[in-house]
Amino acid sequence: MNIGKSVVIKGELSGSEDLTIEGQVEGKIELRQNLLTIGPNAKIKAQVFAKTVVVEGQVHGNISAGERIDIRDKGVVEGNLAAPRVAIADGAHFRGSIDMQGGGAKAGDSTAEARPASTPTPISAGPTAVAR
Amino acid sequence: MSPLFHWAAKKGDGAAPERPASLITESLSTSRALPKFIAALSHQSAPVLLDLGPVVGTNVSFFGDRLGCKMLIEDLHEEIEASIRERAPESLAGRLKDRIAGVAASPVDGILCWDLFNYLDRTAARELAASLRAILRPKGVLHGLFGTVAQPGATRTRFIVQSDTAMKCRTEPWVPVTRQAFQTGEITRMFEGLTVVESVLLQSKTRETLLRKP
Repeated sequence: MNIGKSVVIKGELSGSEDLTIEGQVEGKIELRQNLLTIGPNAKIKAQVFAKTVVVEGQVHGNISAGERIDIRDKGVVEGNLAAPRVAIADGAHFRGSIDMQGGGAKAGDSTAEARPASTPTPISAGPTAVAR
Repeated sequence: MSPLFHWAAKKGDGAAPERPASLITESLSTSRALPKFIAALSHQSAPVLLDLGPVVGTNVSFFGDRLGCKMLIEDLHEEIEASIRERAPESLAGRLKDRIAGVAASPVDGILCWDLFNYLDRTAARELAASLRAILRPKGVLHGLFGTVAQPGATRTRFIVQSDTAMKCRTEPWVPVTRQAFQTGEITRMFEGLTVVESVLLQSKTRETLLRKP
């Protein structure tokens, strides 16, 4: 499934299938058993939980993955990473901490990262999708 | 203005400097201190490692696989670059102190301090060294690479770990800045209170130093 670049989502985004985001998401993204791809055009301000996370766009917020986090060469991440495996390509921008000790934190465990480099702005609960 | 920044200031309006590809070089270097650094950390459970340079994915993977550690990336090159662009060299020591203060809440077991001090004036270098001493846990180790030749330049070096004993040195274009030289005695004084475990002059005229907090 794809979320196009004209789509803005504020709130909580969860699902049980692989997802590619090209738009903007603010809040929380939860795909515990699936692959989340943050495309080159995507701008994410959210806590992210997924099985595998591939970052090609921009993420401000903590990312937690059960298996792997992969930041590609144009990817930008300001936040803390938690996953058993983390790959960061040459050219990627990263600021924060990388925790490879115990794997990704479970969704809802907001204390898994000791030192948030960037805290997403609190938002109201409930999804709001705005097509532009 | 500090002499350190004169060359940079002549470049004009602070806009991004040109980055000729010809400045990119690579070489391989043997390390005697890195295996001791890794050994020191591998004795600790869940060590925390602080990297003070720009993130290098290969290093993250290497230390993650070898040590299962938590890595903190605090790219102090960002602050050096910003102080040059803003022509505010006097602000650099404070900027660095603030960045280190951000991680000081929890002490660290290891510090990677590569290609950093040579871009600092003496005041900033001393203050940064004091901050690093403070956040290092007892028995913690600091692996430093210090250039021993002062020279102007518009490059920086990324060190990419290849194995326990080998590092690739990649020189790449950067902001124009004069590199300061640091000799053994000065390094020892800056990090007074830490024990020198290893100090080796590499062929690249870089001094590799491993320091341990008692």
